[in-house]
Amino acid sequence: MENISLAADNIFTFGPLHIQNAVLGSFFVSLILILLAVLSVRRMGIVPTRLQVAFELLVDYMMSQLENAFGDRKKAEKFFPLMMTLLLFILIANQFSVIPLVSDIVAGETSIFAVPTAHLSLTIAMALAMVIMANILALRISPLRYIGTFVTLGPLLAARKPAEIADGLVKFLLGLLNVISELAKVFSLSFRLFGNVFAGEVMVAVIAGLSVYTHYFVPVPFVVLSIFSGLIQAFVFVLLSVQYIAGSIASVQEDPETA
Amino acid sequence: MDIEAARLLAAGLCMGLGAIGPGVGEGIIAARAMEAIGRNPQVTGKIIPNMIVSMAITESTGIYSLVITLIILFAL
Repeated sequence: MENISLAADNIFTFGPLHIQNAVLGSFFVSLILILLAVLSVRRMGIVPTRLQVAFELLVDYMMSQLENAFGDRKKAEKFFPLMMTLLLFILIANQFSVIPLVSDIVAGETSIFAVPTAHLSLTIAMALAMVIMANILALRISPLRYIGTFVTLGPLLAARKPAEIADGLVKFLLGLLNVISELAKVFSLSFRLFGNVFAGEVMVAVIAGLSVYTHYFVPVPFVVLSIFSGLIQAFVFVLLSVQYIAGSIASVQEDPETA
Repeated sequence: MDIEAARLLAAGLCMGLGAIGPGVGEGIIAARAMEAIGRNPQVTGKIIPNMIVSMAITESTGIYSLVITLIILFAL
């Protein structure tokens, strides 16, 4: 069985920077994306090429999802570039292991390019960026109201009777729980993507390493399964972060019905 | 008990117990989606993507236990 490690392997050190194979892998993914983009716009026209059709389908899908979430085309257009980049990056990165020959380039013992999303550092970074952005956007729209969703003092201050004070206390404690739910968003987003991609890799490696007979054709259905789950997880990551951002913006906009 | 044995046992238990919840949950989602499709076959195209997304979210508790298992197996 191949050696499976959670941490990315160090390829070389550049001053204080450790360049790991996952980092090189994500550079490779970016390179693929740039190439695809150049190829797809090279002969753009009324009669689209195949690549252009594929990209247009993706763009249409993303746009309709964003419009659904934000309920407003202008806002959706503002968030479109970020979300589309995320989607394309994760889509390609999840399928990194099925790109032929790339993972066979080795330096010494370790391969130079590794699947970027199978390492927790990248997925945590992306999830943190999304959740922090959701918080900052809501804070910029209305700081007081957004903090008010975490520290709900309103019912407590308005309370006049003992029963109302108890009710206000419960609301206050429930509001504090929202802080934990913000933290849980980071963990759930990052672990979901990382777990699925890494598990796909480990599963294929384990099946291939079971015995001599399972080395060539037996892992194929599992490879297909991991490709499928990688596709779905890319969409899930992006759709969920869109939901988080839209939700936090909606929570501070006029007349929050939810206390 | 040997510490290595305890580690392997913990990994197996973690994954096995953690898979119960998502299994039941995904079954419920699939059952309801099938019911909805059976009642109204025209909206199949709308139900299937939503079903897959909600399944992926339901799966996340299973994925958490998987991550813990992988950490126990390969990182400790």
